[in-house]
Amino acid sequence: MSLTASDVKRIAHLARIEISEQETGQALAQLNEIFKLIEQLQSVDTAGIEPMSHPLGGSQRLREDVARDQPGRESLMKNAPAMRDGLFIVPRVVE
Amino acid sequence: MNWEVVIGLETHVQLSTQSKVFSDASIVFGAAPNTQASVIDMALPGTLPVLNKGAVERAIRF
Amino acid sequence: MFEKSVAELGRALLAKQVSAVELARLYLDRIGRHKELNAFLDVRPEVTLLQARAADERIARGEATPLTGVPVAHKDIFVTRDFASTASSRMLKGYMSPFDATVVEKLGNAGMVTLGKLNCDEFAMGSSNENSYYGNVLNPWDTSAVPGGSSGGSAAAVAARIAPAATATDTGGSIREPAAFSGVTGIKPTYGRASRWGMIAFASSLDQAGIMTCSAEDAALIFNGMLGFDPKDSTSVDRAQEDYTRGLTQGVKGLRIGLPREFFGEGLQPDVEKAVREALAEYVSQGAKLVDISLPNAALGIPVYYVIAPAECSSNLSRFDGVRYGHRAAQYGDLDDMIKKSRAEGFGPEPRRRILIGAYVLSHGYYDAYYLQAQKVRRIIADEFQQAFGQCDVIAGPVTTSVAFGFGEKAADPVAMYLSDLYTIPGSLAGIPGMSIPCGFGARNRPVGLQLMTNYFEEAKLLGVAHQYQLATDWHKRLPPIVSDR
Repeated sequence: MSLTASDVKRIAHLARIEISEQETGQALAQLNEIFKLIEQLQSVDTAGIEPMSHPLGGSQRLREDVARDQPGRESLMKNAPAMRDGLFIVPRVVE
Repeated sequence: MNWEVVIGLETHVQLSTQSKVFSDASIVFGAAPNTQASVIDMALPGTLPVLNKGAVERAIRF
Repeated sequence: MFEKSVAELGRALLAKQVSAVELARLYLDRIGRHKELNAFLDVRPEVTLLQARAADERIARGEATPLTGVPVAHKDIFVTRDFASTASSRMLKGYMSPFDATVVEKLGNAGMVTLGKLNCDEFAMGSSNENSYYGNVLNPWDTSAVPGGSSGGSAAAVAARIAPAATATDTGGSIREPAAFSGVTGIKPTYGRASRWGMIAFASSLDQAGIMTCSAEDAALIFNGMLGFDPKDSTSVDRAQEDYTRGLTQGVKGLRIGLPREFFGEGLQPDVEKAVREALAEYVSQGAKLVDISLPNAALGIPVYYVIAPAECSSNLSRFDGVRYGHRAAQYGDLDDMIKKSRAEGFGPEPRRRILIGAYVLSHGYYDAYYLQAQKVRRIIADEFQQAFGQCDVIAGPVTTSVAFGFGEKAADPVAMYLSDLYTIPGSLAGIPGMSIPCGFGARNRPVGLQLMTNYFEEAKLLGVAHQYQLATDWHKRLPPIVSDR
């Protein structure tokens, strides 16, 4: 599978990472090298094999439905780039 | 011309849990913004959720 | 004093031959004298000395553990309340976590004293520590060579004896490879043994915390303090508490050591092979038996890993958007633009590359062909280990194809860099425990590591096998020239 520049732009949008025209060219070359590496998997016969998502085959552990105290807004938001009145400030979303 | 009315109801039901689906923070109505957030809800680095058993049980009942 | 192991330091502290404060001062001084290695990212002496004083008080009260007062440093992937946590990225410059990682908390509860946070590859992505926003880490054995990655700072700090032990993380080899390149002992436990709470996530089905130190005995002592069930980590295994030192004195007579023929084939450099085979000969002289085994699909580990890890990382790194914490671009238009610019500026080239690969292999139309297929091949590889353990007790081989390479040698070619993980990735995919112990030197006098792996939950046996080698040899006690001088 060989990527095109428009593939790279599409994925960059999905990943929400800005990418310039120049970077797109470089990324394209590197990504295609990496995809050549990954292509080897296509020829492996995996009929009847269960996918492995977790090394020890564990199942999802659940948490008891109990509410607990939290560290508090100030402590959780202390690294905020922009904050006011306990709210994160970002560019207007709704016009 | 006869028209047949077909009405669909999309119902959103809040599950009656004590804590959130992904964190053990409380969910009391009317609290000030971000005061019922946990480190997981804030997605702080190093945090990953553990699923609420009560939420799964209620969803199964439906 | 800095040549003492964690075990010896613990005993010296209990015997009041040295105080925790004196030890802390000694290591802080050594950190200062080896700044050129760039192993540490955040050092705060007042915090360290506060912890050291508390440790001394605890020793005086008779409430010490074998680790109380012993200094430790933490890879900057673990969040800490008292030191910045950056994941070696611009994205988290200056970030102060409101909580400590469980691994940090547990070792703190055992009384270990934190020296600071260690440099690594950005977001744990890399094999040479050339991907840190805060600069390269140098290999103490040869400062023109890489220390390995992603836990380069951890390996360099222990090798240079500026920390007696350092926490680290291993996703595809990030403990074992730098341990081999830098001539120290590094161990990754079974997946699920160490809590991932507070470990900045890279690839969640692979990430594991571990330790780098000077000996298997030290690693066993630290495992006693560090491992255990944590309900906050949804993949943490709930097993009875165990003593990881219990297998140390077990001899290796009759031990069956499996050698995967795929790990001794094309690509393995002769100098590395020589040192590894000499180490195996030592085991044979102690009564062990070498068994020829096969891991036929081990080489597919690399493509499997470079589908799964980027896929999982694209999800884990999606939280970094400049909204709630972390880097926010200075100039932007709307919210979408703010997020895109913040991420483009905050992430270095390797995280950006892996996020793009991950987004692609998970995207509509490609998930089945790539991600699902990779997960199936992962199971094939894991099953082959189970087959192999039917014929042997421990698997041994090289950690890397060559000794540490020079700076810049592989940095321009991502695929060449990825191939460094050839021997370590299969064990990561299976989730079994693995170690690297120093076993000699290769080209340019750079260290060589021996890899040892056992089946799930057999860390005590693994540590014992390593310990027996370290009783009969002294590679693990050698000091890099720059350390013998100062």
